[in-house]
Amino acid sequence: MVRLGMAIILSGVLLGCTDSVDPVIDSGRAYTLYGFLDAHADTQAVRVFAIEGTLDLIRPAPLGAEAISTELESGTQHQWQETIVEFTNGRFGHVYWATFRSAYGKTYRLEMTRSDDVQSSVEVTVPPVVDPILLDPSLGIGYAIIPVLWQHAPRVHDIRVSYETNMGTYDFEYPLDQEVRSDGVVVVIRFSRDAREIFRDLHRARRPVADLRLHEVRLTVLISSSAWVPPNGIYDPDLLIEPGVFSNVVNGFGFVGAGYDTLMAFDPADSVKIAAGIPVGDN
Amino acid sequence: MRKAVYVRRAALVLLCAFPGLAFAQRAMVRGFVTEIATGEYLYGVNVAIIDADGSVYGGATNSDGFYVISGLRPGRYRFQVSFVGYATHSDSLTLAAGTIYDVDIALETELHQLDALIVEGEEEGSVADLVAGMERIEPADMDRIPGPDVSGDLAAYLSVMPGVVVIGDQGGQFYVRGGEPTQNLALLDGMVVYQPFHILSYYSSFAPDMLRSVDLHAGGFDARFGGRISSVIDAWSRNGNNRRYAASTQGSPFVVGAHMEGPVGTGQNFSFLASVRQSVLEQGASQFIAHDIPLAFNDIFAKVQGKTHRHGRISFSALTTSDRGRIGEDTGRGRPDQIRWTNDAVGARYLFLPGYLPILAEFMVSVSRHTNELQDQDESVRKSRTGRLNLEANITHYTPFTNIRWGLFARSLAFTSDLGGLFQRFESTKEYVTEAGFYLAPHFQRNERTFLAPSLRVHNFPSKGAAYLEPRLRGQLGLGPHTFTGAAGLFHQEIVGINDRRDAASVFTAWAATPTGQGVPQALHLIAGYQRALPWGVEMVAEAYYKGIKNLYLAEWTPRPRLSTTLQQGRGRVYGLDLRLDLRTPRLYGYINYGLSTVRYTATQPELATWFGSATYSFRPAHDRRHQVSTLITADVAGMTASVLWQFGSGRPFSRALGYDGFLLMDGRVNVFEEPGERRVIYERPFNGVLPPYHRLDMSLERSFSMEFAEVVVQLSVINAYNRANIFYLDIFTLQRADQLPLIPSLGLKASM
Repeated sequence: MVRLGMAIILSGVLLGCTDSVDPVIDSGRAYTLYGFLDAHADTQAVRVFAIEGTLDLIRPAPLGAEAISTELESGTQHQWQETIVEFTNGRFGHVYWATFRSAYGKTYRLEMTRSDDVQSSVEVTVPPVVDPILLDPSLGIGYAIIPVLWQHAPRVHDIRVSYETNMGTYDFEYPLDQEVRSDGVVVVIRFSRDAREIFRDLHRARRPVADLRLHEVRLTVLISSSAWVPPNGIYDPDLLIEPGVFSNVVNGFGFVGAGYDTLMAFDPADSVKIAAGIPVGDN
Repeated sequence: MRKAVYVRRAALVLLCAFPGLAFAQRAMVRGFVTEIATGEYLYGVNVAIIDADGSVYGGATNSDGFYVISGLRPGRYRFQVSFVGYATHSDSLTLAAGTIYDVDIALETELHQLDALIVEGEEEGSVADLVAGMERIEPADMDRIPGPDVSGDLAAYLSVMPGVVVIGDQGGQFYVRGGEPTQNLALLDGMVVYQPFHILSYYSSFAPDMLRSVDLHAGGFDARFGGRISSVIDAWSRNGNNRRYAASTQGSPFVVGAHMEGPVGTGQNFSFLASVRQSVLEQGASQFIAHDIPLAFNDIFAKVQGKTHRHGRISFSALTTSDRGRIGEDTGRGRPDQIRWTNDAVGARYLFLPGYLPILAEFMVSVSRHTNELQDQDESVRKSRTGRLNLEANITHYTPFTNIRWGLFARSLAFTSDLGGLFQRFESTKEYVTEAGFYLAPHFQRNERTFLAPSLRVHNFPSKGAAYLEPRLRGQLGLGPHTFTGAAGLFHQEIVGINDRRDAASVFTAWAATPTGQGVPQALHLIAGYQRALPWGVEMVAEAYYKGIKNLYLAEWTPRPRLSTTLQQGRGRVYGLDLRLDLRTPRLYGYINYGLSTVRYTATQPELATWFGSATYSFRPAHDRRHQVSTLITADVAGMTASVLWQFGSGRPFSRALGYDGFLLMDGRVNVFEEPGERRVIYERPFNGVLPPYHRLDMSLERSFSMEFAEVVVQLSVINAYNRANIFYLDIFTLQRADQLPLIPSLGLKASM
């Protein structure tokens, strides 16, 4: 048995002679990208994280990636520049940017190439020009909603409604509730609900509701590319931080969208205002 | 030897008051067996009563040195008490019907036979000490393990057991057959010790000089124990010498310590025992090897015990321990977190033998307290404090055919946590919990090697409105040279230790009650074992086990670096096989332990569905060490005792990352020039990598010198003799690697008076 013990020891030492460990598997992926192509901006920009082997803080040194965007229909290319940004929290980040205006309805491919030729890329289609159409409102006693169709829009984000009144401007941020149809996206303005919020505000300020006059409703949205849809329709950071979730980058991670801001302004009909309890007529 | 015989005429009515005790025409002999030189109770002593036909009725003393032989017909018997290393006591007894005889025996050491008898005795005892997941460990077993000190330690012994996995030599984290440290119940003299191991994992909180024995129930434990789903470490201190004063002192570059014991008063009825240990790592071992070991600990134990009257024994025990240190190494990316913990426990135990009833009654009261504190790199502090008041009564009825043990318990627990916000979904809180319940555990003994012990525990939590029914079964069957053992049982754990096992170096634990409405951890244990003696002094023990665990609290798998702040419920299953080969000859002792184990946890996390392709994922946790081997050889050479221990463990799982990047929430117009985002770990499946294997060689050489007033033991030892760089942990967030201790030579001295 002593011999057996010695044999076990010897074989164990031989089998277990390695003591090194490789904590990171090289995935072959190069970069993680975030941002969106803005059809209304003259400069396009994306945030770039190198996929690294350590978790050290990002250093204020260039990544050195070659970044080129190509408009796939015409083949027009733009070289992107690297900028190191220091954020308000003292941390650094890498932003790549190029001076051009992305065109409505066009598809762009952004390729980020590392010095060892490993490449991450993303294809993004800029939404087409849209036409907002005011649909028939739904009215009841103390109830009024106004649907707006953004014709040909793939998706919308950042829905904001402003009410211009004689007593000031009231802004409302809307959740991403939207009805996606074959002819576009319908966003519903909760007119009576917003009106009640305005009334509460006036009450708190001891200002008479009877003196309120609504001049204009302004609806602002970010018309977004069709891929810009989070899983389950919710921007849950705990879910979206998972690698590979909500990602359209090839051989990398992250999400790059496309879009542009657009605005629709209108003065609701008196019947709509009355249904929501907003006074009409001269003050 | 001395004998004290007390006879009590039993009242027939009282004897018949309990079912199964209707044996008024029979007699019973019972008593305590002690060592004459010290007054210490002796465990495992063979007590036999032989009638005129040569029929033998007998039993062995329990850990209190107590024995009972019941169901004896009236008549004349030969009474014989024998124990390895002691002179056999022989006498005759004439027994009358319906009588209980109290016969206390004090055995005298028989020095000239001791050496030969030790070998024989150990051969007999080793197999018997391993029964269906339960092993009795005695100080002599611990002493065989080479370590930096002359006296062995429970922690060193456990670390070479096949089913026990130790995560490194720091942190005091022991995993028993797949169960986590917070699923182990540690008791000393019936008092709960929440953290029974010191921060340097070579040492337990129990100084070896004060230990009498430790029962390790690696699973399948009977209904006496509850509230934990993995294992029980049931340690008992020995009694102080009630004949004379004795003391010892010892030192090494790791620890210095001393113990004292002696009689209290003049009647030899009471004795005391006290021990103290203090680590000297920072002043000692770390200076030897020019390697910073920022760990410190101490423990103090005291006990007073004695005979209150003919039928009563009482003892008072107290333990206090303290640990502090930084786990891991400062590699320049930030100092490791500072951890501190303390244990305090006091308890009293009263053993009572009613004069007219065949009953042994045990009453215990104890108070335990545990504090745990973690100070991380940004100086934020997490604290957790736990208190426990325990009252229990354990009654054993002795009948001719079975011993029936039952008990009642009531406990009050208080948990206070200051966690700096949410920690694993548990908030900083103060909470009180009550527990009460009872158990019934009959023990049917057919012969020395065959028994069946079904038991049932009802564990109730009045403050939580919950109750659990836990059936258990243990048994052993001896057939010729073969011995088969088995155990099964259901276990629950309402009180859970909350920690983050993603980080192997994180030993901070906050104790809390399971939140109302959430399932409590539950485990099913199955054990099947086989033992037999082989030729050439070799004994073989094999034991297969299974643990199925529900409602495990697992750290959420998230790419956010550092500790997860949320827990999820999962399930686990553990399969394993422990194999032991023991070799015993007069001058050589050795064993080979092999442990095969597989632990797998399964959890469901909806966020992972896209990344993993399924919301449900399973993984090997960090303590799933698939293969373990330990080989010990101890030999007497030229008046010295040489010990060599080699341990091997296959690599443990760890989580390998695919890389590190960052995350921005793209929920609309994000200005990439202003939004900093956060760092992220791009992980693959949890614990998808395997660390290098662990192996280590420890050696010691020990010699005793007898002087006029003292016995001195000198020990030279080397830990990690070939200086293997065994990895302790790898932090995938910082890629910080911490290794276990390097080669450390040590000189240990112990003087006993």
